[in-house]
Amino acid sequence: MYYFVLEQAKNRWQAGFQNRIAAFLDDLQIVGEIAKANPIQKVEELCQLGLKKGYHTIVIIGTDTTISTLAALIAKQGATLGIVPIDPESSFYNLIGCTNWEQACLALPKRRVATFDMGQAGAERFFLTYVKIAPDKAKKPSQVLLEIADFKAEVPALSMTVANGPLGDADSELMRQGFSDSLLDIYVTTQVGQTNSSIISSIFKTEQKTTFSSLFHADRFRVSGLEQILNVLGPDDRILTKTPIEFSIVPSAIKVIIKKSSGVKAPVKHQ
Amino acid sequence: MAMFDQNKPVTKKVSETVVGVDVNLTGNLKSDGDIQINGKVKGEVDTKSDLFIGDQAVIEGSIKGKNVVVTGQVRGNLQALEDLEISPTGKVFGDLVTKNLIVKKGASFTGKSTMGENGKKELKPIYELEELKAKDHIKNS
Repeated sequence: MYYFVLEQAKNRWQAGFQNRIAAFLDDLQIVGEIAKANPIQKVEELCQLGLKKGYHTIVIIGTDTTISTLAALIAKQGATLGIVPIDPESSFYNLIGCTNWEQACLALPKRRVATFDMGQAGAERFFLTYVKIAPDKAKKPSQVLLEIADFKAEVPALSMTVANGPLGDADSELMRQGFSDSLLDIYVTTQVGQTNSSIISSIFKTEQKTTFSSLFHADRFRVSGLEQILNVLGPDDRILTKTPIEFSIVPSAIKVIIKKSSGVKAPVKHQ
Repeated sequence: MAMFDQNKPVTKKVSETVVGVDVNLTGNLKSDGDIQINGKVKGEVDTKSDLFIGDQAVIEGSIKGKNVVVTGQVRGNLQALEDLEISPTGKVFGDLVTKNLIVKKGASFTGKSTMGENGKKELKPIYELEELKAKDHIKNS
């Protein structure tokens, strides 16, 4: 039995989209209960309610921040997480081996489960895919101190990405194993490609290339802004917390339903 | 210098570490994967895989790797289990131990080189090496 948690719709379009997903799930005849968030009951409360009711699989239908927030609750209870991202650019598609919400729904009844690590930012924030670290307005790189294992690195950074797994399309088993390698990847960006100006980019909808100048890997590290306090942002750019902050990895933290043909050995076990 | 493009899939064989230009790193950098250094490092660099020292890199400390390519500056002893290449822009001030040594035209090398078996021979102070040679000489005679 699955317990489905839906975010509160922000507008009519989103409400309609949620209804489409609910109807699609209904067609798949997955037995379970659907709980929709509202101004009185937030998604966290609904998720905890589902866990209290004894559901072993909680399916989150929502944005990346909501999925990350609830994933931590689900991981603590040892339940299995099902994911239906509503953002077409969601970082979670990479994790579950799907490219759209329909595929994510279809993966649920087949129930192939993989165990993944979770990143921890500070004492309370957890993430499954990645977080970004950046100042409020970054026009030029600012000095950041990275303290990793036996070394300290002073790094000029426009922004940083702390990732639990690969950032590109994880279309192979080898690449998706990055989500269970007990390491966080730290990408440092010092510049955005100058091939297109932001105005031209916005007019012609061309993407600006982001280049990484440094890449580190660690199971635990600390980040401090030497010139200013930096924001720690979720994949959907919501501010989660601020620097200085310590990051760590929680190995084999959560069981996640993934696409059956995605080639991930399930469940992945660590020593 | 290889840069990472966010739009491209990140191919991860074993974790690769990249120290970018303008990075000042202090301490010991150890990795099982490849390391590419383009910035400044004060301390030991140790990898079981390959090590590339970029032309803007300045390293003060000892270095160990499987295959090592130096196109920047190194002040310290250098050990490569397989190949050690000093490129035309490379400058090494220190002793080398390697299986195969390649010094390109224009490269600068100040120190002592030892072609150890598989580059596994540990670097020892010069006086110890002299003593060992003397002992071998006595044995042979």
